[in-house]
Amino acid sequence: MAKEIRADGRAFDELRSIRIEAGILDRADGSARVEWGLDTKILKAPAEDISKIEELKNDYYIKIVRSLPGAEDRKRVLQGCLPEDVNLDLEGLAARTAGLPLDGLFDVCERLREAYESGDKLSDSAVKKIVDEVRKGANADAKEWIFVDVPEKLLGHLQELKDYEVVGSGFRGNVAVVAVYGPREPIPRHVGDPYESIIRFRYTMAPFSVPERKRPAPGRREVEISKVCKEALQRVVFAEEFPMTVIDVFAEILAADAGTRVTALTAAGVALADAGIPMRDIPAAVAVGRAFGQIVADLTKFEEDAPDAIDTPMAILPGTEEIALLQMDGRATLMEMDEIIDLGVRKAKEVSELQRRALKEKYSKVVDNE
Amino acid sequence: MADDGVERPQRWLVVPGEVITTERVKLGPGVYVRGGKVISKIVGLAEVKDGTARVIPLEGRYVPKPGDSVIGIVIDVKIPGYDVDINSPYTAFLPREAVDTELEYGDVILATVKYVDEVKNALLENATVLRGGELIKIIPSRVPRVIGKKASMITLLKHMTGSAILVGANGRIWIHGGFSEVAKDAIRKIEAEAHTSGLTDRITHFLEERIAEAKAKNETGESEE
Repeated sequence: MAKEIRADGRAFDELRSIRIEAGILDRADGSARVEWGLDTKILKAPAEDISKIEELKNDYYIKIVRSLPGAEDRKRVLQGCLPEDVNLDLEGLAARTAGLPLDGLFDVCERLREAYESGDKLSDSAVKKIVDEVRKGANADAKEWIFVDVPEKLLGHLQELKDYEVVGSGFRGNVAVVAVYGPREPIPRHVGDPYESIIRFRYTMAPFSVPERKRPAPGRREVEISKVCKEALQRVVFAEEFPMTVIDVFAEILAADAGTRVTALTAAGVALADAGIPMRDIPAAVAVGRAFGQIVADLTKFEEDAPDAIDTPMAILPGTEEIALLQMDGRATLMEMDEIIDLGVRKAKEVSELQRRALKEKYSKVVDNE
Repeated sequence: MADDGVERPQRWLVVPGEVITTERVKLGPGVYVRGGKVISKIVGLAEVKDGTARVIPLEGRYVPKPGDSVIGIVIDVKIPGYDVDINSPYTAFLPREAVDTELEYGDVILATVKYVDEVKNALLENATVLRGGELIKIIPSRVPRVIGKKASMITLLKHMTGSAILVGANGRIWIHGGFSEVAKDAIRKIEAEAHTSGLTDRITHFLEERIAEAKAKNETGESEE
């Protein structure tokens, strides 16, 4: 991979684009939405270039949005479309139909079924004939296109994609919505502390937030994230001002692409402030680490999966640089760790700036003083 | 929460963690000191006046304070008195001897906070029952703007709409009679624009317009009858 840029075209210490909005929910005392991810462009490319693009996929964070069905997909389609009692080697048929678009695959199934129902034995040569005929027809048809989702910043760097037409734009990243309720009566009453307010943080990921359906039940991961975020916030708010109450923070992840806990915590900071809860500072969070031999800020899923990845989500109070949350996944030398924390503090301050601006924007809509 | 509704240019919007001043000042509500700097705790309007720094809050729940006049709803009737919901994380208690009449579940009362204990539960006194009219709820920290400097805003509202209006420090407002719809809309407008200046003028204008409209409507309605 190219050394000067990252897999998504960003500089090594560059954050993804972050959009924050405060006060989005009427029913909650405080709320915020954070969209934290890559802005992308959708390119339209001829299907025959697929192998070229597949190759780019190894080094760059691009996604093929729609393409010719792969061998596994073909097998699944055949399995679903052919009569159950037909005795055919599906593996072999899937291999034989390589390169056919989905429509062509349906045609093959249709004609195989017709032949089967009219009493044909479906010998090897008969099957071959049908596939070849369909293939001819499919090729005579209009050109098959694929669509490639490429980070905006990467576009200028990849000569290979220059010629393709841009047909749309997209977003790939994290979306978190946080609602804060409280301080309110603790229910059950016995969780209340007569000396300070208790924060309850519930982190949940929507089933549709990741490519494979995520089971919605909170698991070990959710419980852990809820716990560390709760502890990060507990010392940030002036909890002693509201004895015998709870502050409920609900963080819902609607889309995920590495760094959901920092997205949730960043949103939670804004939502708490929006609820009018007194705090020492608004905690700002960011993930930093290492990928492909470089110390980088704000890792994507692609970088997180790198063989040498270190992922260090952290949250700080920007005013004092106190650390409110620090976790790490991976192995780092002490020197690397210093570098990572320095970078994290610097980047979190950038996030903090965006949080402040978002809160002030809520009032600037009607503000006319100053 | 000592906002008296005066329009001053030296107020600016702050968020938690923002430095208000590095000078030595007295600390008002909504601020704390860290490393010799006065820092905001909340989202609100910062102000340094007469050697005191404070932040006037824009959001937040009501926490009872002795002397506050609040509008509550009776949620439980007990032998020694009544439990009262005061739109707060904390409940209030009204002893039976502090009210002339028997109260029932759901009664709306206007009362004064007499005492607040160490876990902020309040004791009420001087309760009167409010009958008829309607209750609306606003963000408690914006109540001072509805009252205005030396009660100027609330006087304006009462005078122009002809409604009886009672404002509780806990964000509940009771409106009875007059152009109550107009009064409600005006209060909503004050709530939404609490952080802006020149509010009194805008509200006067708003009231004049809406009341003229309402009167015109009434007249046509009567002529149709």
